[in-house]
Amino acid sequence: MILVAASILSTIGGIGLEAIKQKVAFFIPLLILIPALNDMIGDFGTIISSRFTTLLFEGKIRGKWWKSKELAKEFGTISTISLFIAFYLGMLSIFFSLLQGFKVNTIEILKVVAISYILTASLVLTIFFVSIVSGLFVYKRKKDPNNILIPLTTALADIGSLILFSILVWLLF
Amino acid sequence: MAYRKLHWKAKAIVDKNFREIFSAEIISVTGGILAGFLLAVILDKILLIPGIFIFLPGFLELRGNISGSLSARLGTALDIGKIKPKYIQRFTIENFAATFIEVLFVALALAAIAFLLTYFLFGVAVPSLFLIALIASLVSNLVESSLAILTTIWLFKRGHDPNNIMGPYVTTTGDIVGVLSLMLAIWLI
Repeated sequence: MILVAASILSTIGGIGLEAIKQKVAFFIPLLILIPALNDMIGDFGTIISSRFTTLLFEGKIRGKWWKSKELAKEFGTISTISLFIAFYLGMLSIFFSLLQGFKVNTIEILKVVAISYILTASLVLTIFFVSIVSGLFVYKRKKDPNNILIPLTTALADIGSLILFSILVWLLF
Repeated sequence: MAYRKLHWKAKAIVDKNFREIFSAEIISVTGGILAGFLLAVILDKILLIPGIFIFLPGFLELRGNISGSLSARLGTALDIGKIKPKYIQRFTIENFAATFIEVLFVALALAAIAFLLTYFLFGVAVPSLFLIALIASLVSNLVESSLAILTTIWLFKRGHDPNNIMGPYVTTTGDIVGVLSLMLAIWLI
């Protein structure tokens, strides 16, 4: 059932893609970016949720989560990695589109990298916030946050990445 | 002095966790980019099928989920000694067969949703989506589930913990195999 639900939620994100199909078709680096961005945000959803749950179970996060040094370190690590990977994705999509003979100018390269960065930063921040709020809520009710957080953040990542991608493409191209 | 401070700060951030997550993500997203490159190769054919962009994300997600849970089940069964590291045995055959039922059911459900959304939102009926979903799901599952089983057992035989490696591996291969299967399905239609 969860498998069906997860795949169906991704389909909802696909509506946004269908709506901007012509723009994506016109500018190849955007098409190349889609599967990788979707994968990356989904992976970070799982990583953030499971690591936050581990911190909860180890007792390293109490009521005032904003004072937790371990949580701050996790945030720093994942944010740093996500921004490196966002840049890598943007440049790699440009590289592969050049291999296909598609020409890009500097402004277009900056737009692709900007989409990659804005999408990554927004969703990683949102996923962190959702994980903290939902994780603490579930943990206080003596349930395992992993059972709720991972499907929740993965669904958020799937729909969020495609819809935000569609909005950014519509605005910038 | 400033350089030393920066060096120690960088060392504090780039610890074992950082390296593990970073290397797994680099592999995973590179596979995603390759899948995107393959999509760009068949772009002119994709554009002829309304609704395919609605179907695509769910289909790629499905591939990752099916192979990921298959390799996780195998990895756990190997770890706890429930099964021996043999490629052909009852456990692997049963799980391999089960993935076909799962993937067919979900792929056709996705095709139905894509068909209905395309019809009601864009006013176009595309029955070929069902045939594409059927062919792509069968072909991708045959390849990807075989790869997942073979690789999991191969890794275990060589003393590695498949659970540490199979995650990014199935995501990467799932995207590439998924897009290649879609290419084949569209070409056949």
